[in-house]
Amino acid sequence: MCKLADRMARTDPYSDIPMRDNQLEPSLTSLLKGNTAVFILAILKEGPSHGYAIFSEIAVRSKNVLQFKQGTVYPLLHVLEDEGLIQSEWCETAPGNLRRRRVYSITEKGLTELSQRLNAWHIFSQAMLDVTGVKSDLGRT
Amino acid sequence: MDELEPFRAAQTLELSSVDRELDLYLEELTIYLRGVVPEEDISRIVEETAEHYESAYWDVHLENGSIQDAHLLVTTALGSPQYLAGRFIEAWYFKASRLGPIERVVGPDNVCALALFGVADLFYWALLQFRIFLPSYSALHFAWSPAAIRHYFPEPLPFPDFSPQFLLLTGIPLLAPPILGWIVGRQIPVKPATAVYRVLMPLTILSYTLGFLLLPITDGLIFAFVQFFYWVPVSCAAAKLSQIVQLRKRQKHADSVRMASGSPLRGFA
Repeated sequence: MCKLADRMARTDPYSDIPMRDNQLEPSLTSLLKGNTAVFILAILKEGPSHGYAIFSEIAVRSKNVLQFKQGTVYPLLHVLEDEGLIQSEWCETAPGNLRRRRVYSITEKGLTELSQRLNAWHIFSQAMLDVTGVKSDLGRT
Repeated sequence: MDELEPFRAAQTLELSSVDRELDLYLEELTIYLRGVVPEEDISRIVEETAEHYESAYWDVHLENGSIQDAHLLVTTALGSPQYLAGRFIEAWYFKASRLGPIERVVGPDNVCALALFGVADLFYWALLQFRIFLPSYSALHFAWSPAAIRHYFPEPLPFPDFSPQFLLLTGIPLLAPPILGWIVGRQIPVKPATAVYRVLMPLTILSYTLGFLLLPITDGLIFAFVQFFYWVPVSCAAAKLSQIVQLRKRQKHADSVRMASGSPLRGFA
Protein backbone atom coordinates (compact mmCIF):
# COMPACT_ATOMS: atom_id res chain seq x y z
CA MET A 1 0.00 0.00 0.00
CA CYS A 2 2.76 2.44 0.89
CA LYS A 3 4.55 1.61 -2.37
CA LEU A 4 1.43 2.39 -4.37
CA ALA A 5 1.01 5.64 -2.47
CA ASP A 6 4.64 6.50 -3.17
CA ARG A 7 4.13 5.87 -6.87
CA MET A 8 0.92 7.90 -6.92
CA ALA A 9 2.63 10.70 -5.05
CA ARG A 10 5.43 10.65 -7.54
CA THR A 11 3.05 11.13 -10.45
CA ASP A 12 1.63 14.15 -8.68
CA PRO A 13 4.20 16.88 -9.22
CA TYR A 14 2.96 18.83 -6.24
CA SER A 15 3.16 16.08 -3.72
CA ASP A 16 6.41 15.44 -2.05
CA ILE A 17 9.28 17.45 -3.44
CA PRO A 18 9.65 20.27 -0.93
CA MET A 19 8.29 18.63 2.17
CA ARG A 20 10.54 15.68 2.70
CA ASP A 21 13.02 17.34 4.98
CA ASN A 22 11.07 19.99 6.76
CA GLN A 23 11.21 20.28 10.50
CA LEU A 24 7.52 19.98 11.27
CA GLU A 25 5.99 17.16 13.20
CA PRO A 26 4.92 14.24 11.01
CA SER A 27 1.20 14.95 11.24
CA LEU A 28 1.69 18.50 9.97
CA THR A 29 4.14 17.30 7.34
CA SER A 30 1.65 14.87 5.90
CA LEU A 31 -1.05 17.55 5.96
CA LEU A 32 1.12 20.03 4.15
CA LYS A 33 2.26 17.59 1.51
CA GLY A 34 0.74 18.56 -1.78
CA ASN A 35 -0.10 22.11 -0.62
CA THR A 36 3.17 23.91 -1.20
CA ALA A 37 2.13 24.48 -4.79
CA VAL A 38 -1.01 26.19 -3.51
CA PHE A 39 1.08 28.52 -1.34
CA ILE A 40 3.26 29.44 -4.28
CA LEU A 41 0.30 30.07 -6.57
CA ALA A 42 -1.42 32.16 -3.89
CA ILE A 43 1.64 34.37 -3.49
CA LEU A 44 2.12 34.74 -7.23
CA LYS A 45 -1.53 35.65 -7.62
CA GLU A 46 -0.71 38.92 -5.88
CA GLY A 47 2.07 39.73 -8.30
CA PRO A 48 5.22 38.39 -9.96
CA SER A 49 7.96 37.33 -7.63
CA HIS A 50 11.25 35.44 -7.55
CA GLY A 51 12.13 32.28 -5.68
CA TYR A 52 13.71 33.77 -2.58
CA ALA A 53 10.91 36.27 -2.13
CA ILE A 54 8.31 33.50 -2.50
CA PHE A 55 10.03 31.40 0.11
CA SER A 56 10.39 34.36 2.49
CA GLU A 57 6.76 35.33 2.04
CA ILE A 58 5.59 31.80 2.87
CA ALA A 59 7.65 31.84 6.06
CA VAL A 60 6.44 35.30 7.07
CA ARG A 61 2.76 34.69 6.37
CA SER A 62 2.80 31.34 8.15
CA LYS A 63 4.65 32.95 11.09
CA ASN A 64 7.52 30.56 10.47
CA VAL A 65 5.34 27.47 10.90
CA LEU A 66 6.00 26.41 7.33
CA GLN A 67 9.71 25.93 6.99
CA PHE A 68 11.55 23.71 4.59
CA LYS A 69 14.81 23.63 2.71
CA GLN A 70 14.87 26.81 0.66
CA GLY A 71 16.34 25.08 -2.34
CA THR A 72 13.31 22.85 -2.72
CA VAL A 73 11.18 25.79 -3.83
CA TYR A 74 12.97 25.92 -7.18
CA PRO A 75 12.31 22.36 -8.34
CA LEU A 76 8.64 22.90 -7.57
CA LEU A 77 8.65 26.19 -9.45
CA HIS A 78 10.09 24.37 -12.46
CA VAL A 79 7.42 21.71 -12.22
CA LEU A 80 4.65 24.27 -11.98
CA GLU A 81 6.07 26.09 -14.97
CA ASP A 82 6.21 22.87 -16.92
CA GLU A 83 2.56 22.28 -16.07
CA GLY A 84 1.69 25.72 -17.41
CA LEU A 85 0.47 27.06 -14.08
CA ILE A 86 3.15 29.73 -13.89
CA GLN A 87 5.55 31.38 -16.31
CA SER A 88 8.91 32.99 -15.82
CA GLU A 89 11.45 35.29 -17.38
CA TRP A 90 14.89 36.58 -16.57
CA CYS A 91 15.11 40.08 -15.13
CA GLU A 92 17.97 42.27 -14.00
CA THR A 93 18.42 42.42 -10.24
CA ALA A 94 19.77 45.95 -10.44
CA PRO A 95 21.04 48.18 -13.27
CA GLY A 96 24.53 47.18 -14.16
CA ASN A 97 24.42 44.03 -12.03
CA LEU A 98 25.45 40.98 -14.02
CA ARG A 99 23.42 38.66 -11.83
CA ARG A 100 19.98 37.92 -13.30
CA ARG A 101 16.90 36.91 -11.41
CA ARG A 102 14.16 34.55 -12.58
CA VAL A 103 10.82 36.18 -11.90
CA TYR A 104 7.71 34.02 -11.87
CA SER A 105 4.12 35.00 -12.52
CA ILE A 106 0.89 33.06 -12.45
CA THR A 107 -1.01 32.13 -15.62
CA GLU A 108 -4.73 31.82 -16.27
CA LYS A 109 -4.45 28.10 -15.87
CA GLY A 110 -2.67 28.66 -12.56
CA LEU A 111 -5.44 30.95 -11.33
CA THR A 112 -8.01 28.31 -12.18
CA GLU A 113 -6.02 25.62 -10.45
CA LEU A 114 -5.54 27.79 -7.39
CA SER A 115 -9.22 28.56 -7.20
CA GLN A 116 -10.13 24.87 -7.46
CA ARG A 117 -7.62 23.83 -4.85
CA LEU A 118 -8.64 26.52 -2.39
CA ASN A 119 -12.25 25.57 -2.89
CA ALA A 120 -11.48 21.94 -2.24
CA TRP A 121 -9.44 22.85 0.82
CA HIS A 122 -12.23 25.03 2.18
CA ILE A 123 -14.77 22.24 1.76
CA PHE A 124 -12.43 19.72 3.34
CA SER A 125 -11.46 21.90 6.28
CA GLN A 126 -15.07 22.78 6.97
CA ALA A 127 -16.02 19.10 6.86
CA MET A 128 -13.12 18.32 9.20
CA LEU A 129 -14.32 20.90 11.70
CA ASP A 130 -17.92 19.72 11.44
CA VAL A 131 -17.05 16.06 11.90
CA THR A 132 -14.57 16.52 14.74
CA GLY A 133 -16.51 19.28 16.45
CA VAL A 134 -13.34 21.32 16.88
CA LYS A 135 -13.83 25.06 16.86
CA SER A 136 -12.02 26.85 14.05
CA ASP A 137 -10.45 29.36 16.43
CA LEU A 138 -8.03 27.37 18.54
CA GLY A 139 -6.75 30.46 20.38
CA ARG A 140 -3.39 30.37 18.63
CA THR A 141 -1.53 33.66 18.33
CA MET B 1 24.84 58.84 3.18
CA ASP B 2 23.23 55.43 3.38
CA GLU B 3 23.59 54.13 6.94
CA LEU B 4 24.72 50.77 5.61
CA GLU B 5 27.46 52.26 3.40
CA PRO B 6 30.29 52.01 5.97
CA PHE B 7 29.26 48.45 6.70
CA ARG B 8 29.32 47.46 3.03
CA ALA B 9 32.61 49.24 2.48
CA ALA B 10 34.18 47.31 5.32
CA GLN B 11 33.03 44.04 3.78
CA THR B 12 34.48 44.71 0.32
CA LEU B 13 37.67 42.80 0.95
CA GLU B 14 35.74 39.85 2.30
CA LEU B 15 33.47 39.56 -0.74
CA SER B 16 36.08 37.59 -2.65
CA SER B 17 35.86 34.75 -0.11
CA VAL B 18 32.07 34.80 -0.32
CA ASP B 19 32.24 34.62 -4.12
CA ARG B 20 34.71 31.79 -3.83
CA GLU B 21 32.43 29.81 -1.54
CA LEU B 22 29.48 30.44 -3.80
CA ASP B 23 31.50 29.33 -6.83
CA LEU B 24 32.50 26.15 -5.04
CA TYR B 25 28.92 25.46 -4.02
CA LEU B 26 27.71 25.98 -7.58
CA GLU B 27 30.51 23.87 -9.01
CA GLU B 28 29.60 20.98 -6.71
CA LEU B 29 25.97 21.40 -7.65
CA THR B 30 26.92 21.23 -11.33
CA ILE B 31 28.97 18.08 -10.73
CA TYR B 32 25.94 16.30 -9.30
CA LEU B 33 23.68 17.48 -12.10
CA ARG B 34 25.93 16.95 -15.09
CA GLY B 35 25.25 13.79 -17.06
CA VAL B 36 21.68 13.61 -15.82
CA VAL B 37 20.04 16.98 -16.47
CA PRO B 38 20.53 18.79 -19.83
CA GLU B 39 23.06 21.60 -19.93
CA GLU B 40 20.54 24.38 -20.55
CA ASP B 41 18.62 23.30 -17.46
CA ILE B 42 21.82 23.14 -15.45
CA SER B 43 22.75 26.70 -16.38
CA ARG B 44 19.32 27.94 -15.33
CA ILE B 45 19.46 26.01 -12.05
CA VAL B 46 22.93 27.32 -11.27
CA GLU B 47 22.00 30.90 -12.05
CA GLU B 48 18.85 30.78 -9.94
CA THR B 49 20.66 29.15 -7.06
CA ALA B 50 23.40 31.77 -7.21
CA GLU B 51 20.88 34.58 -7.11
CA HIS B 52 19.05 32.94 -4.22
CA TYR B 53 22.30 32.45 -2.33
CA GLU B 54 23.24 36.10 -2.70
CA SER B 55 19.82 37.34 -1.59
CA ALA B 56 19.79 34.99 1.39
CA TYR B 57 23.40 35.72 2.25
CA TRP B 58 22.91 39.47 2.56
CA ASP B 59 19.82 38.98 4.69
CA VAL B 60 21.64 36.65 7.04
CA HIS B 61 24.92 38.55 7.01
CA LEU B 62 23.25 41.77 8.01
CA GLU B 63 21.79 40.03 11.03
CA ASN B 64 24.82 38.03 12.03
CA GLY B 65 27.79 40.05 10.83
CA SER B 66 30.04 37.02 10.33
CA ILE B 67 30.86 35.68 6.88
CA GLN B 68 31.47 32.15 8.10
CA ASP B 69 28.24 32.03 10.08
CA ALA B 70 26.26 33.58 7.24
CA HIS B 71 27.67 31.12 4.73
CA LEU B 72 26.89 28.17 7.01
CA LEU B 73 23.38 29.39 7.69
CA VAL B 74 22.62 30.03 4.03
CA THR B 75 23.97 26.72 2.75
CA THR B 76 22.29 24.79 5.54
CA ALA B 77 18.98 26.46 4.75
CA LEU B 78 19.50 26.00 1.03
CA GLY B 79 20.59 22.40 1.38
CA SER B 80 23.83 20.71 0.43
CA PRO B 81 24.71 20.62 -3.30
CA GLN B 82 24.03 16.89 -3.31
CA TYR B 83 20.63 17.31 -1.68
CA LEU B 84 19.66 20.19 -3.94
CA ALA B 85 20.82 18.35 -7.05
CA GLY B 86 18.76 15.35 -5.99
CA ARG B 87 15.62 17.48 -5.76
CA PHE B 88 16.27 19.08 -9.14
CA ILE B 89 16.97 15.70 -10.74
CA GLU B 90 13.77 14.27 -9.33
CA ALA B 91 11.74 17.24 -10.60
CA TRP B 92 13.36 17.06 -14.03
CA TYR B 93 13.05 13.29 -14.36
CA PHE B 94 9.29 13.28 -13.78
CA LYS B 95 8.59 16.49 -15.71
CA ALA B 96 5.55 15.77 -17.91
CA SER B 97 6.82 17.71 -20.93
CA ARG B 98 9.80 15.39 -21.47
CA LEU B 99 7.81 12.17 -21.10
CA GLY B 100 6.00 10.15 -23.74
CA PRO B 101 2.35 9.15 -23.35
CA ILE B 102 3.13 5.75 -21.83
CA GLU B 103 5.72 7.22 -19.48
CA ARG B 104 3.24 9.79 -18.24
CA VAL B 105 0.81 7.05 -17.26
CA VAL B 106 3.18 4.37 -15.99
CA GLY B 107 6.17 6.46 -14.94
CA PRO B 108 9.49 6.79 -16.80
CA ASP B 109 11.31 4.65 -14.23
CA ASN B 110 8.81 1.81 -14.59
CA VAL B 111 8.96 1.99 -18.39
CA CYS B 112 12.74 1.73 -18.32
CA ALA B 113 12.79 -1.21 -15.89
CA LEU B 114 9.94 -2.97 -17.69
CA ALA B 115 11.63 -2.57 -21.07
CA LEU B 116 14.70 -4.39 -19.80
CA PHE B 117 13.30 -6.99 -17.42
CA GLY B 118 10.16 -7.52 -19.45
CA VAL B 119 12.15 -8.34 -22.58
CA ALA B 120 14.41 -10.71 -20.64
CA ASP B 121 11.38 -12.40 -19.10
CA LEU B 122 9.59 -12.67 -22.43
CA PHE B 123 12.69 -14.05 -24.14
CA TYR B 124 13.12 -16.68 -21.44
CA TRP B 125 9.50 -17.80 -21.69
CA ALA B 126 9.70 -17.98 -25.48
CA LEU B 127 12.83 -20.15 -25.20
CA LEU B 128 11.12 -22.36 -22.64
CA GLN B 129 8.19 -22.91 -24.96
CA PHE B 130 10.58 -24.07 -27.70
CA ARG B 131 12.42 -26.33 -25.27
CA ILE B 132 9.25 -27.95 -24.01
CA PHE B 133 7.18 -28.20 -27.18
CA LEU B 134 9.84 -28.32 -29.90
CA PRO B 135 12.82 -30.12 -28.33
CA SER B 136 14.59 -30.67 -31.61
CA TYR B 137 18.01 -29.27 -30.79
CA SER B 138 20.75 -31.84 -30.80
CA ALA B 139 22.62 -31.90 -27.55
CA LEU B 140 26.34 -31.87 -27.06
CA HIS B 141 27.38 -35.29 -25.91
CA PHE B 142 29.69 -35.81 -22.98
CA ALA B 143 31.29 -38.88 -21.52
CA TRP B 144 28.87 -39.16 -18.63
CA SER B 145 25.72 -41.21 -18.69
CA PRO B 146 22.36 -39.57 -18.05
CA ALA B 147 22.30 -41.23 -14.64
CA ALA B 148 25.68 -39.75 -13.77
CA ILE B 149 24.58 -36.32 -14.96
CA ARG B 150 21.40 -36.64 -12.95
CA HIS B 151 23.51 -37.37 -9.89
CA TYR B 152 24.78 -33.78 -10.04
CA PHE B 153 21.62 -32.19 -11.45
CA PRO B 154 18.81 -34.01 -9.62
CA GLU B 155 15.14 -33.69 -10.33
CA PRO B 156 13.28 -31.36 -10.60
CA LEU B 157 16.13 -29.35 -12.16
CA PRO B 158 16.07 -29.38 -15.96
CA PHE B 159 18.18 -32.12 -17.53
CA PRO B 160 21.47 -30.52 -18.60
CA ASP B 161 21.86 -31.50 -22.18
CA PHE B 162 24.26 -28.55 -22.64
CA SER B 163 22.59 -27.54 -25.88
CA PRO B 164 22.63 -23.83 -26.77
CA GLN B 165 19.00 -23.75 -25.66
CA PHE B 166 19.88 -25.19 -22.28
CA LEU B 167 22.78 -22.78 -21.84
CA LEU B 168 20.53 -19.82 -22.61
CA LEU B 169 17.82 -21.12 -20.29
CA THR B 170 20.39 -21.40 -17.53
CA GLY B 171 22.36 -18.30 -18.34
CA ILE B 172 19.48 -15.84 -18.58
CA PRO B 173 18.08 -16.51 -15.07
CA LEU B 174 21.57 -16.34 -13.59
CA LEU B 175 23.04 -13.38 -15.42
CA ALA B 176 20.08 -11.15 -16.22
CA PRO B 177 19.49 -9.79 -12.68
CA PRO B 178 22.94 -8.35 -11.96
CA ILE B 179 23.48 -7.07 -15.49
CA LEU B 180 20.05 -5.59 -16.06
CA GLY B 181 19.87 -4.29 -12.51
CA TRP B 182 23.16 -2.47 -13.04
CA ILE B 183 21.94 -0.95 -16.32
CA VAL B 184 18.69 0.19 -14.72
CA GLY B 185 20.67 1.77 -11.89
CA ARG B 186 22.58 3.84 -14.43
CA GLN B 187 19.51 4.79 -16.44
CA ILE B 188 17.15 5.77 -13.64
CA PRO B 189 18.47 8.58 -11.43
CA VAL B 190 15.69 8.39 -8.83
CA LYS B 191 15.14 5.27 -6.74
CA PRO B 192 16.06 2.67 -9.36
CA ALA B 193 15.77 -0.23 -6.90
CA THR B 194 12.16 0.71 -6.20
CA ALA B 195 11.37 0.77 -9.91
CA VAL B 196 12.97 -2.66 -10.36
CA TYR B 197 10.93 -4.06 -7.47
CA ARG B 198 7.70 -2.56 -8.83
CA VAL B 199 8.29 -4.18 -12.20
CA LEU B 200 9.62 -7.56 -11.04
CA MET B 201 6.81 -8.39 -8.63
CA PRO B 202 4.10 -8.47 -11.32
CA LEU B 203 6.48 -10.32 -13.66
CA THR B 204 7.07 -12.91 -10.93
CA ILE B 205 3.34 -13.36 -10.42
CA LEU B 206 3.00 -13.81 -14.18
CA SER B 207 5.75 -16.43 -14.10
CA TYR B 208 4.00 -18.32 -11.31
CA THR B 209 0.80 -18.30 -13.33
CA LEU B 210 2.51 -19.56 -16.48
CA GLY B 211 4.47 -22.06 -14.42
CA PHE B 212 1.26 -23.56 -13.03
CA LEU B 213 -0.19 -23.74 -16.52
CA LEU B 214 2.84 -25.71 -17.69
CA LEU B 215 2.50 -28.40 -15.03
CA PRO B 216 3.41 -31.29 -14.85
CA ILE B 217 6.49 -29.75 -16.50
CA THR B 218 8.16 -27.94 -13.64
CA ASP B 219 10.61 -25.72 -15.53
CA GLY B 220 8.26 -22.75 -15.45
CA LEU B 221 7.62 -22.98 -11.71
CA ILE B 222 11.33 -23.34 -11.04
CA PHE B 223 11.93 -20.17 -13.01
CA ALA B 224 9.21 -18.42 -11.00
CA PHE B 225 10.91 -19.47 -7.76
CA VAL B 226 14.23 -18.27 -9.13
CA GLN B 227 12.63 -14.94 -10.03
CA PHE B 228 11.21 -14.47 -6.57
CA PHE B 229 14.20 -15.58 -4.53
CA TYR B 230 17.02 -14.50 -6.82
CA TRP B 231 15.90 -12.00 -9.46
CA VAL B 232 14.12 -9.61 -7.11
CA PRO B 233 16.82 -9.20 -4.44
CA VAL B 234 19.80 -9.36 -6.79
CA SER B 235 18.30 -6.97 -9.35
CA CYS B 236 17.30 -4.46 -6.68
CA ALA B 237 20.73 -4.70 -5.06
CA ALA B 238 22.49 -4.30 -8.41
CA ALA B 239 20.39 -1.24 -9.27
CA LYS B 240 21.05 0.33 -5.87
CA LEU B 241 24.75 -0.47 -6.06
CA SER B 242 24.98 1.05 -9.52
CA GLN B 243 23.36 4.23 -8.24
CA ILE B 244 25.67 4.36 -5.23
CA VAL B 245 28.76 3.87 -7.40
CA GLN B 246 27.70 6.74 -9.66
CA LEU B 247 27.00 8.96 -6.67
CA ARG B 248 30.34 8.10 -5.04
CA LYS B 249 32.11 9.06 -8.26
CA ARG B 250 30.46 12.45 -8.21
CA GLN B 251 31.15 12.89 -4.51
CA LYS B 252 34.82 12.15 -5.05
CA HIS B 253 34.93 14.66 -7.88
CA ALA B 254 33.17 17.28 -5.75
CA ASP B 255 35.49 16.60 -2.81
CA SER B 256 38.55 16.90 -5.02
CA VAL B 257 37.31 20.23 -6.33
CA ARG B 258 36.81 21.52 -2.81
CA MET B 259 40.17 20.23 -1.62
CA ALA B 260 41.91 21.74 -4.63
CA SER B 261 40.40 25.12 -3.78
CA GLY B 262 41.76 24.89 -0.26
CA SER B 263 38.53 26.20 1.16
CA PRO B 264 38.16 25.55 4.90
CA LEU B 265 34.45 26.31 4.91
CA ARG B 266 31.89 23.60 4.47
CA GLY B 267 28.35 24.73 5.07
CA PHE B 268 26.77 21.33 5.15
CA ALA B 269 27.36 17.78 6.33
